[in-house]
Amino acid sequence: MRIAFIKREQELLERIRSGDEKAMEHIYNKYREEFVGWSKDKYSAKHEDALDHYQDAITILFEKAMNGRLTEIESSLKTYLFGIGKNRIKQQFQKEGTRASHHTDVEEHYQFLASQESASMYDSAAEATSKLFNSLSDQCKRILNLFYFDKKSMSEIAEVMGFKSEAVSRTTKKRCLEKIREQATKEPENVR
Amino acid sequence: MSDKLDKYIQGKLSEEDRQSFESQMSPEEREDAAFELGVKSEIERDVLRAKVSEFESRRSTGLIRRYIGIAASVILIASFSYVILSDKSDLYDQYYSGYANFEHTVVRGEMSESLKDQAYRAYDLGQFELSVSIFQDLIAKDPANIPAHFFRGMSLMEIGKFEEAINSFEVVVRADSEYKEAALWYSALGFVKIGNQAKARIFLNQLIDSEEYAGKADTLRKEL
Repeated sequence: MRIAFIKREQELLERIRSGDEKAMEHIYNKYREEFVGWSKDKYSAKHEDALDHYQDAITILFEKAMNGRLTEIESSLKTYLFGIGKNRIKQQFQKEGTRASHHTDVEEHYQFLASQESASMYDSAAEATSKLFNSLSDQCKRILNLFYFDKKSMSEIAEVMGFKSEAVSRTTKKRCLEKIREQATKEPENVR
Repeated sequence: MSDKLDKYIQGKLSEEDRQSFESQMSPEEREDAAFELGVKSEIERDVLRAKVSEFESRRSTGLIRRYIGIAASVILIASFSYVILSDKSDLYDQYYSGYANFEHTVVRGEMSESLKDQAYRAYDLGQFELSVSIFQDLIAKDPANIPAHFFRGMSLMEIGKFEEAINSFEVVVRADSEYKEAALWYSALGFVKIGNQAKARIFLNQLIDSEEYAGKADTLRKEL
């Protein structure tokens, strides 16, 4: 029984890793009510807050799964999800309203990020992206999504976008990143 | 090199390749990589957040639809209840009789019993729960096995699962087999039993030319 259960969860994780939306929706619906009820009971969260916590936690779960940082889980998806949720809720209690950096999370895979400069570059790039992404052209949004989310190669992007060659994909992507890069590399005191 | 950097950023390198790639990076390359990984983390989170809120909104429209469904069936039940109160459903007991199996005779005491033997034997012995599941297995092996659909339907009628039975009969009717008229008749009886007389009439009307069922169908229709 237990082995079959683990196998099923592994299959689900594998499907999420490949970007399967049906699997994501399945998991979303599976744990939603229990999680919302749990954070209302245990942390006296309001309904909307409980739902926010759930959406945050599940987004993180999907993110980890997609990046292969969750290929094998010792307990179960549910325990893992509730664990993330607990941390999120505690974080919110500690520093209301601040943007949580999550570079420590990726350090196991990208070890150089443990260094001070790399970590701060990572954080400011993420922040700049969140600020500027919506103001980019549609073409840029599409290319960046294809590359960073769908993990498409430059030649696949050329095909999807109707570019002549992968070199065009590469230069277009570079151009799209320039604005974000400019913002990210500004000295923090100049930003304010 | 840039191809490998892409793969590195996208997390497509093996553990070993990733480590060796990292150890060879220049300071500028590290900065580039940190920048791109930061962009990537935000984009990923953004896309996933959008998906998650889409799941949530699909959920609520789904729920509304479900509530409308429940409300509609409450109204339906209310409007049919007078029919049920007038006790049409005992017409079912009056008209229903089982369907004998002439499809397949099982020779008892034979050494090896095929799935088909087991199914019809269970049916003949009145073990309908069992026969439902064995007929189901036969259908799984060969979905075009029409007699199996029909006798699965009959087994379901016997254990009071009328809706499911009607579904089985539907396959039989569509296939236009020798069991078609019987399937129409038992579907009509199933609908009588669950209180859907309008549907029952539709099925009975299709039996007016039937040698075997026309008479019964006509009298039942008049009594509805």
